[in-house]
Amino acid sequence: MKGTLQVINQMVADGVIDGYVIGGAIAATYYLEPINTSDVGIFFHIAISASGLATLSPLYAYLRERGHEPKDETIEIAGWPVQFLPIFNPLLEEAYQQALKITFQAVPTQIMQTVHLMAIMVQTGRPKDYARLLQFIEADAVDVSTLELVLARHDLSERWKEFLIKFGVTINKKA
Amino acid sequence: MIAPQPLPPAVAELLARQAEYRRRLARLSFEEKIAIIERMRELNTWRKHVEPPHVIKPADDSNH
Repeated sequence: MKGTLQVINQMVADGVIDGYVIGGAIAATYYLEPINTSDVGIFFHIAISASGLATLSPLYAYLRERGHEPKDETIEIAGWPVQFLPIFNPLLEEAYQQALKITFQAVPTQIMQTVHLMAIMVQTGRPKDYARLLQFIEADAVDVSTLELVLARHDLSERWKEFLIKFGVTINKKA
Repeated sequence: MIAPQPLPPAVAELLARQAEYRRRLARLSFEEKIAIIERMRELNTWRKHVEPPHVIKPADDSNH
């Protein structure tokens, strides 16, 4: 993972991407127990070509030149398949702007905060998102009042309520 | 609606121990957690490409 992050940081230094934030299972693992995942989710601002089309071509070309080959929907970097995912809505933009700065084996990086990870899970709404939401709640790993503000800001309060009712979840808010 | 039944004590104890184990894992450093995930990935790869397939042989009924 260290080598993977070093390559991604170099992409930022070389101007291939303007920054990034780690999301998905790897970011969730920072707050929970280790989650069995096959790839690293990297959220970034996708480049817009001169014709106005969003394109991954410069990113793929840069990595290919350095020996990192695409594999299915990921690119293999230093032993880890990396999935580059565009920031395409205000919630992802907020998660990017408010990312938590950490280090991994002395390599600086950024991961999403719990409130944004959870709000994205509410928004995406796949069974595995609900399962992970329950893990966050069981681990008491989130400030629910802050989460509810994020959910309200992104019009997700109703979905959150539906989730709580569907799974019979009672939240004890911290004083 | 069916009222929830209390769990047998042995099951309740097992679930409590599993929950405590997960809490202990959650308290590890990020580096330690990633190392565990990397081992999980190795195991997944081994299962996919190396592990011998589980073949269930048909019963030998020649003596019957």
